[in-house]
Amino acid sequence: MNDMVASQDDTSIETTNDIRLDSDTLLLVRGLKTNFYTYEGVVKALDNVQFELKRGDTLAIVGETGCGKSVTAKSILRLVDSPGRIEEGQILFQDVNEEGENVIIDLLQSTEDEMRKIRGNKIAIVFQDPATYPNPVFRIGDQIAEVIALHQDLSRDVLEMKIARLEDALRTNPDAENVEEITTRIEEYKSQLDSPPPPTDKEKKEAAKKRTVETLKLVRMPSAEQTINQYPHELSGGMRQRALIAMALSCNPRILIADEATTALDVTVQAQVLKLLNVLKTELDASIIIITHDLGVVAETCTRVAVMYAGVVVEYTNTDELFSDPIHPYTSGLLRAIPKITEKVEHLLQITGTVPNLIHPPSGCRFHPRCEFATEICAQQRPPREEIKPAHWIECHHPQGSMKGRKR
Amino acid sequence: MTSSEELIQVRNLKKYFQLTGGVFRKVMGYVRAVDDVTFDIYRGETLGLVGESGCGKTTCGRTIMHLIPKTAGEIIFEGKDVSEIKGGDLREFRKNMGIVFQDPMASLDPRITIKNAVGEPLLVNGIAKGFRLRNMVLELLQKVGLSEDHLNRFPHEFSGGQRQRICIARALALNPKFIVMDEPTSSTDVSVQAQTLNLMKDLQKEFNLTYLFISHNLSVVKHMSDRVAVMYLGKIVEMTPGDIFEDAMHPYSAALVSAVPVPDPSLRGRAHILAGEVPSPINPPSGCRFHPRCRFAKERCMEEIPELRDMGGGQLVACHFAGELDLGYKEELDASSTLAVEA
Repeated sequence: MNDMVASQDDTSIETTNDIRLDSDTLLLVRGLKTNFYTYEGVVKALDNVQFELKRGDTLAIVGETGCGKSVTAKSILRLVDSPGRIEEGQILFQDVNEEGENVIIDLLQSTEDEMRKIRGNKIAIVFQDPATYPNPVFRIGDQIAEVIALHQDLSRDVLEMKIARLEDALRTNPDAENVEEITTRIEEYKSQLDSPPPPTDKEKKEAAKKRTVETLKLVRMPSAEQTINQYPHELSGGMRQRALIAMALSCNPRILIADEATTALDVTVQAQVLKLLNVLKTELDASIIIITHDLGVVAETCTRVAVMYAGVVVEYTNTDELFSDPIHPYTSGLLRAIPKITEKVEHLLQITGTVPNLIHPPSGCRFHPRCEFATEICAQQRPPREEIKPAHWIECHHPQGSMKGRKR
Repeated sequence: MTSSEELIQVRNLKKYFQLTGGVFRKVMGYVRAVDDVTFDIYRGETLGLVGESGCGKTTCGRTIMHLIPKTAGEIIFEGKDVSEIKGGDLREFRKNMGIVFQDPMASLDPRITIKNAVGEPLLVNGIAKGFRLRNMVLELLQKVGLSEDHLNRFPHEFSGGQRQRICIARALALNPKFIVMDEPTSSTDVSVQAQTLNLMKDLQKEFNLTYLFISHNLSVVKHMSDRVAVMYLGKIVEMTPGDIFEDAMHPYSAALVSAVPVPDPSLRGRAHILAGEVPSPINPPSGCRFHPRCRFAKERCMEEIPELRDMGGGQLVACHFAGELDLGYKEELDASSTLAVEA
C-alpha cells in the first residue's frame, strides 16, 4: 500500500481521492517536514515525521523539550506560525461525509476555509497551560458557546427547544384558552424536524448555551449551570482544564489533541483529568493524541506511542511493547533514566550530553553523538524507517532490546 | 550514611502571610502557609519534602534558611536558635547553609559571568579574591562537571542542566553543612535530570552534606531521600524512614502515591482518584485538614486536629485512624478500572 501512495506524492491535489487508507485509520502523517526560519538560521524542527492514528486509539507523542512534539500537533492543525513553515509531507485525515462515506482529506492541501471547518470541529486541541488559554475577559460559557454556534448546525436544537417549551406550557397550564393554538403549533414544528428552518441569532445563542451546559456536564464540571457565567480566574486549575477540554469536545471532534494538557496540574488533579479523558474517549467514540514528556502518563493512558528525538520519530509501537522491549537506544536510555518507584538504586543511568541545536542537527542519525552504540555509519547516513517487528517501527542502525546481536 | 545526631530541629514552626486590603491596608486574614510543623533533620541525611503546589514546601524550606522571618516556633541549628542570631553573626552563620532554587534561569543574573556568580559568595565573605578566587571557582566548577573555558561565559550560553550545575556550585562555594534543594530538577528533562540527581548524590558523599530535598515529584524524592515527609496544606501529615510507596499510612499520602503515573503499563489504573482540589490555606478546613477529601473521614476528623503519632519504626502519621484503615491502594491495582470519575 505504501508504494502505491508514495507514487502519488508527486501528482496533483485530486489524487487524494484515490488514496486508500485502512478503514480504521483516522489520521496518517507521512514525511512531515517543518522548518523555522530564524535570524540565526533554519531550525529543522521536524524531519520526515511519520505515524498514524487508528480509530479508538490513544496515541502518545513523547519526547524531551524541543524534540518537536508540539510542532507536530500544530502542523496537523496547520497552526504553525511564521517564521515556521510546513515544507513537505502529507497529513491524511479520513473523515465521514454527510452521505456516510469515508473521504480522505490531505490537510496540507486544504484551503484555509476548509481548515477552519476542521479546526475545533473535527480535530480539536487542548493546550498546555490552563492559566493562559481561556480568554480572561469572556465568561467560560460564552467562549464554549461561540465554538458550538460557529461549527454546529443548531436549527434542529432550536426547534426541539421550542417544542419542549410549548409542551411544558401545556403541561403546567392544561386549561388555558389557547390550548388548540399551541397543539397545532407543536404539530407544525414537529413536521419541520427533518428540514428545520434556519434559526435567528438569538435562538441560536440560546441553543448553544444549552449545549454548553451539556458539554460541561460531560466533563463532570460541578454545578455546570453556574460555571457558564463565571470568568476563568474564578476557576481552579483543574476546573479550567476541564473547561478547556469541554471547549475542545463541544463539537464532538473525531480527534482530540491534548498538548501537555496535564503538565501544569498537580498529580492528584492530573489523575482526575487523565481518567476523564479516557472515559470520554469511549463515550464519544473519539481518538486522542496525547503529547507529553512524562513516560508515566504514557504508560497510564495510551495504547500507542511515538517517541520523538530532535524532530524525528525514533520509535513507534504499542505501549506494552515499548515498555517491555524498547529497541531504540534513546528510548531504552530514557526509560532507565527515570527514578523507579518499585526499586531503589544508588545511581541512575544517564544519557550523556544534551539535546542538539536543530539549526545544525547532527548528520546521519540525530541521536548518534549521545548514543553509546554509535558507529561510523550513524554519523554518515540517516537510518531508514523500518518495521523491525510487527507494528514496531524504528529508525536505528543498531537496534537494541530483543533485537540485540542481530546481524546487519 | 544516616547518623542519629540532629543537625536541625524544627519545633512548632509557623509562617503566616498577611493578607491586606481596603484603603488602609487593613489585615484581612492570613495565609497559613506553614502551620505548626515539627521535625528533625539528621546530619548527613536527605530529608525529602513532598506535596502538591501550595502546600507550603518552599515556604518551609525558606523559613528554615531564615530567608523569610518565621511567625512562631523554633529553628535550632546545631543547638543554636537561628532567629536569635543577628547582624554579623548571622552572616557568619549563613555560611553553614546553601540553597538551590527551582528555576536556574531566574536565579542566575543574566548580566554577570559564571565566574562572578559562583565567586560572589566567596568575595562577599572575604574568603578570597583575585587569582585565588578564580582558582577556587574553577575548582568548584570542575566538581560539578564544568570546565575552565566556561568561566567567563554568561548564563544564556548554558543549557538548563548546566545552569542548574552552576547553581549547585554556587551553593557549595562556602562549604556549607546543609543545602536546601528547592525543586532542583522540575524544569529539566528526564535525561538531564538523571545527570543532576547523580551529581547531587556524589557531592553529598564527598562533602558529607545534609539535604532538604523539596519536590513535587514523588519518584525523584524517593530516589534521593533517606526519609520522606509529606505535606498537605501547611502541615506534615506523614513522615517515614521507609518506602513511602510501600507503606504510606495516611490516606492522603496513599492517594498521592497512587496518583503518580508510573512508567510501567502493567501497573496501569491503580490510581485512587481524590475528589476535588486542595482547599485554600486562608480558610483551611477545621480539624484534620484533609477531611473534606478523605473517604474515611468521620465526625472526629472535623473537630479534632490529629497530632503526629509514632506508628513504629520512626514512622510518624497525623491521622486519628492511622493503622486502622484499609487504604487498599495496592489491592486496587486490578480493581480500580471500575472507579468512577468524580469531580
